[in-house]
Amino acid sequence: MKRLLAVLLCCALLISCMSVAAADEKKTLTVWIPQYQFTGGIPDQEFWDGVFDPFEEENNCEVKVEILPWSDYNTTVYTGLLNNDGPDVVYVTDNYDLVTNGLLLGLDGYLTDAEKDNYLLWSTGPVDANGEHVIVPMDDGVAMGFYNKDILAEAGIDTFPEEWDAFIEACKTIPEKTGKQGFLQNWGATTGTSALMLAFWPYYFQAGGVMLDENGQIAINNEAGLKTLEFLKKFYDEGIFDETIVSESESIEKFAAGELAFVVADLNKGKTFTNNGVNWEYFFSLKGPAGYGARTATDSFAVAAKAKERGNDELAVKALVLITSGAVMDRFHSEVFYLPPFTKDSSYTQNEAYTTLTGAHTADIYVVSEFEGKASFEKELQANIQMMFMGDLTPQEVLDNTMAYYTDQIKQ
Amino acid sequence: MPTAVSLKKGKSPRTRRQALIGAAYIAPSFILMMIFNVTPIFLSAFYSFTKYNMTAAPVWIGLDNYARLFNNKVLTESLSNTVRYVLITVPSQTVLSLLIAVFIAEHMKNRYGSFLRSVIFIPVIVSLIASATVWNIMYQPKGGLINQFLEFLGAKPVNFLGKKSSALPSVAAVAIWKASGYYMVIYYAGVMNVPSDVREAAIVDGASSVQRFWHITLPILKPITYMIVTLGIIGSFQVFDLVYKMTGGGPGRSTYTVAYVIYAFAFQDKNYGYASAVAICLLIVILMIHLIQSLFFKEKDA
Repeated sequence: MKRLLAVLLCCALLISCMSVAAADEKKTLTVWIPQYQFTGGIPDQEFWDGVFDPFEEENNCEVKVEILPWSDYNTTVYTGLLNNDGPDVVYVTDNYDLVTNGLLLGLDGYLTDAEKDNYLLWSTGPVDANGEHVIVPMDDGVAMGFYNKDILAEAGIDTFPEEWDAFIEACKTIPEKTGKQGFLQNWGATTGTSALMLAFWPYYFQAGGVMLDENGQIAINNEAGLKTLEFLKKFYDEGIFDETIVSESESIEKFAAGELAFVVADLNKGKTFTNNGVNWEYFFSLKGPAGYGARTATDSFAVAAKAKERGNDELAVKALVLITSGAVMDRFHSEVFYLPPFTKDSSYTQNEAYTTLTGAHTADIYVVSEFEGKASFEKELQANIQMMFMGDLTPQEVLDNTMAYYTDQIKQ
Repeated sequence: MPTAVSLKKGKSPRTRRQALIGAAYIAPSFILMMIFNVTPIFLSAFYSFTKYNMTAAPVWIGLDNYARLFNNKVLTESLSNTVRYVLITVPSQTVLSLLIAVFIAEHMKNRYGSFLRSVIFIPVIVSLIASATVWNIMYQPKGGLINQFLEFLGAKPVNFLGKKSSALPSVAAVAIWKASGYYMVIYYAGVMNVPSDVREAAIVDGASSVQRFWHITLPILKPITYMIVTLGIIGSFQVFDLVYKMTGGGPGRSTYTVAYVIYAFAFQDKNYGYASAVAICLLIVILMIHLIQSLFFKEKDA
C-alpha cells in the first residue's frame, strides 16, 4: 500500500513538472500602461485585454497588461525595468534616465523600414549608446485653454484677456461681477508633477524661458523663471487660486458646470463642455512678457532591454507594433482618450479648431525637454512652489533651492 | 532548551541530538531572517559608502555621503517632521489605548465589551494602503465625510491634507486610529492580569477608581507601557506608507519624513548610496533612542 502510494505521488509530481514545462513553452509578455480612462468609458484594462486577445491566440502567448496609476509613474517604470520580472513593453514618460542607463531595447534591428516610416516622430526619438532608436515617440498634443464666453460677457469683458496682467485683472473682476470663479489650476496637495505640465512650463515659455542651457543641462534659475513664479504667486496672493483644488478634474468639472471662466484642459473636453451647454471658445495660450507659449511633450512606447534576456524581445516588439498601430490607436482615440495621431496609418484626424490654432502658433509650441533626473527635478520644483504659496519661500528661493537640490542630489 | 554553550560542552549524545533538532526547527526562519532582515542592513551599510544608481557598479566614495548629510535642508526638515510626528502619535496612541483598555476592563466586562474590543481592533487588520485611501476620501475638502460634518455644524470646510498646519497631524490621526486597537489589546491583557486581591484590598481601604488606576494599575502596567512606547517610537520613526499614499510628502515638504526621504533619495533621485547613508543614520538614531529609553525605565525601576 505504501509503495503504491509512493508510486502515485511520484507520478503526480512528474505530471505536475510536465505541465509546468508545457506551460513554460507558452511565453508570457508583460505590458505596463498608465491609466488613461478618466471618464465613464471602457476601462483601460478591458480595452487592452481586448486588443491582445487575438494577439495571444496568434502568437501562442499570454499577455499580462498592467494598468498603473500616474502617481510616481516614472519611479515605478525605472525600478521595474531594472527588475528581471519587470515589463517587456512599457509606456514611457521621461526617457532620459532609461536611455542613458541602457534600460531600453534598441529597436532599429527589429523594425522594418516601412514600420519605422509609419511613425511620424520616429527620427526625433533618442538613441542609445549603439546609435539605435529605443522608443516610439507619441504626440501628446498641446493642452489648450477654454473660456466661457457667457461669463466673460456677464463680467463686461469683451475680448479674451490674453496678456498676463489683463488675465489676472479679469480673474479678479469675474467673481465680483458674476459670483463665479475666474481661473483654477491644481496646485493643491497633488502628488506627481502633473501640475507643472499645465501650470508652470507654459508660463515659463511665455516668459521667454528655455529649459536647457548650451550644455544640455536644465537651467531655470533665470529672469524667465523668476517672472513665471512671480506671476503664479500673484494668482495665490490675489485669492484667485483655490487651495482646495487638488486635481485637474475638479477645475474641469467646475468649467463644465458653468461656474468657472477659464480652464486649461485636453482638447477633447470641448465635447463635454458643449454637451453641458457651456458657451465656450478655445484660447491657445496666455501672452507673457516674451509672447505666446504652450507646451507639448512626447511620451512613448518602448521595449525593455531585459526582454532580450528573457527571450521575449521579438514578441515584445511585435506587441509594441500592435499597440502603436493606426488601427489600435484609432480605437483608443475614440473609446478611451484623445491623443493626436502619431502614425501615418491612423485614420482619425485632428480637431479642426486645434489644427487652426496650433497651425497659427507653430513657433510658440515648446517641447518639454528630456534631461537627467527630470521627474525628481519636477517633483522638487513642485514642492518648492507649493512652499512659496504657503509663504515659506520667495520666488528666488524656489529657483535657488530647486537648482541646489538638483545639483547636490539628483545630478549623478 | 539546549543552547550553543551546552552544545559545545557536549554533555551527552541525546542532548546533542536534541540541540541539533532544535537548531533544525529554527533554521528556516533563522535563514530567512538573515537573508531578508540582517543582510540588507549590512548591504545598506556597504552602499552607504558608495555612489550607486543600480545600473552601474557601485563606486567607493568613503564618507562623502555621510559628510553631505549635515547640510541637507530636505533631510533636516524631514527629521523635524518625523520628531513632530512621533511626538503626536506615540503619547496619543499610548494614552488612548490605555484608557480604552482600562475602561473596557473595569466597566464593560460583558458581551458589549467584547464587541467594542473587536470593533476597535478592526483598523489593525485593515491594509494600511486601504486605510489611507479611505481616509483620503474622508479628508477631501469637497464632499469628504469630515468636511460634510463640519459644514453640517456650520463650520467652513478644511483642506486637511493641503495645508501645512494640518497635513502632518491629519496623517498622524490615521496612524493613531490604526495602532490604538493593537495596543489596546495588549493593555487589556495587562489590566486583566492585575491581581484581584491587590485591587480588592485597595477597595477595602477606600481607594477611589482614580487612585486605584494611578497607584495600582499604572505601575503594574509599566513593562507593557515600556514595550508599547518602544514599539510606537520605532514604528513612528519609520512612517512611510501613510505619507506616500496620503500626501506624497506635500504640501511643499510639510509631511516629508525620514523614511519618505530615504525612498525619495533612493528611488526617485536614484541615489541609492546616499539613501543608504540616511537609512544607517536612522537605524543609529532609533537604537540610541531605544538605549536612552531603556536606561530611563531601568533608572525608574531602581
